[in-house]
Amino acid sequence: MEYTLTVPVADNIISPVGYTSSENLASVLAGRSGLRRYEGYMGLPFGFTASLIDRNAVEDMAAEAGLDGHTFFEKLLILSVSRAISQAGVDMASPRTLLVVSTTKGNVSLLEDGKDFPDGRVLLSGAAEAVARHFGCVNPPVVVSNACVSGLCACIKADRCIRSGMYDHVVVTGADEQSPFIISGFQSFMAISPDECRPFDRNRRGLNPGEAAATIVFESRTGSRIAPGEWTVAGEAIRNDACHISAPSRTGEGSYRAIMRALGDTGAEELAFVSLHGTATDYNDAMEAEAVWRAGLTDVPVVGFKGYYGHTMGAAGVMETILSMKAVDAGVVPATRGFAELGVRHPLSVSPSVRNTSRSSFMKVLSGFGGCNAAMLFSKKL
Amino acid sequence: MNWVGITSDMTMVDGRRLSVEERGERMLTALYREMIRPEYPKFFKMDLLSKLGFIASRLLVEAAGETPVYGDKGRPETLREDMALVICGCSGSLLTDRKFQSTIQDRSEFYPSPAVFVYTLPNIVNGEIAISNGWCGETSCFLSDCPDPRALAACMTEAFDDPVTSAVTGGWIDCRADDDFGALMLTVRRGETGTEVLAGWISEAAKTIGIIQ
Repeated sequence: MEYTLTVPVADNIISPVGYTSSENLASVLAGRSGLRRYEGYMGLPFGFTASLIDRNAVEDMAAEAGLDGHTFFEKLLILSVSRAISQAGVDMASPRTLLVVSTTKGNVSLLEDGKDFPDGRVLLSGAAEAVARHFGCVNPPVVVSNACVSGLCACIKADRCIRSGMYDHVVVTGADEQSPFIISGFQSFMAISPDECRPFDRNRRGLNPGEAAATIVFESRTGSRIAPGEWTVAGEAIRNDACHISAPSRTGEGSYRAIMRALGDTGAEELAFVSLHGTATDYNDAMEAEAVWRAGLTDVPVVGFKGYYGHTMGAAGVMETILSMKAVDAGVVPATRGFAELGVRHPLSVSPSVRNTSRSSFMKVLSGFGGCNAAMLFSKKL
Repeated sequence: MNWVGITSDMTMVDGRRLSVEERGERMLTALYREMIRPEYPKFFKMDLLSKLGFIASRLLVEAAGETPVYGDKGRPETLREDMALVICGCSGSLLTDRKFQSTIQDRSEFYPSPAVFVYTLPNIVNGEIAISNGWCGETSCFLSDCPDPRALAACMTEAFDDPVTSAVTGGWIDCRADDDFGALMLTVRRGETGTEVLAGWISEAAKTIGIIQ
């Protein structure tokens, strides 16, 4: 019997540097970043550096699409999903289509100023249902909220749902709005860098909050129907450090175990690169270097995207997967913006410049609060 | 199959009601004092959602007759990668979210606390359960508007897709208010049953403790 594979067939990224996936990859390869300095943002009593979406531009697009009655967060999701499904001809109202939403805080800004919306919208499921209603979905949306790892967990959920045979399409969409809630929380943790973040660099000083929405449409396909140039999900794993709820394991335990399981029999020499989490906090980057070293991948190029986008939370896993696919399609290993001099205990093949590659697989890795780590392996048919 | 059910005024293990004097959060503290050995001081730093999940998971481990060797800080001495943890809920971290928001709402009285902020994620309860039981396998957190036995069973069964997973602990954990919460937690072993039967078990247990009608 032929086995079922999960194929990403369409995607979209809405970020400060572009409103399509191609615009975003072009921006990354040109070294452009959405990061800038904010003072007095939403009345916050401290300045910070972040990558925030132009609200007026999104409101204009939303007004044009008739999205009145939705929150900013919901508008981001709806706009991103609309753009992705229009490329793939997905029937959102089909019982064989599932919507999976990845977010950490959803509509949490309604706690500050939510008078125009019903109470239930501050629930993650309430926001996801508002999005699902817009598209006429018949299946209830699945909401994945696994902190910073959510986007990859949502893609893993999609892969499993596709391979269960119950769905033809699973639409994974992830986003977070950078509200005073999130920014002041990370600030209280002393995790925010005053300037642009420097992943894996010896002078790194923390993360930058980032905003984005990203969507991947996954399609069910039997093995023989994969065309050259198409991508498939080739491996996946989620592991917990079982160590600390907010600090990563010093030994990279969960990340290492997730990488090894997702890698399976694939050799390091097959990987174009590993797209790491690379938040540029002291602990995260040190932990990831440990995990990469333990996994024997120190010679494989690694990439961090946070210097372009900051930490986009619920969008990160989805967006960084799309950027990685597009980069491999273009035959390049993206530069790690903000990196200059290695500042972790083990060697890492990280570069401030774009490199070429002829390989056709990559791994995406994330780690987050709750001790959760996830890794996915994507391979392209040659 | 072993299961644990906790609501704000009742605790059940495998369908038998435990006699606990208190209710609400004080009931969880009473359960901690009576049932948790050795001590696990981190309990007192947790928010309500994590306390609920932690107590439910430890009662479940004991009901299943497992005897982990606890060492430093009351944690198991060895990690197990073969146990997956799947948590579903509705409110997520909303109770703690409101608490954190109150510390930043007035920008002239702006005192955000990292100790509160860390609990403003729905999956921190997964982390607390994983740490206190030494489970380093898959941990997942899903949210929906009401308890859905079929969806929970499906998420639990999907965790067996990972060949390392030999058992899955899953549950519905929800805190609507300080005195209005509910948890149902159970463990299923690989090959023990399919999604439909598991959904039936969950549904029956959820009705027994009144989480669903």
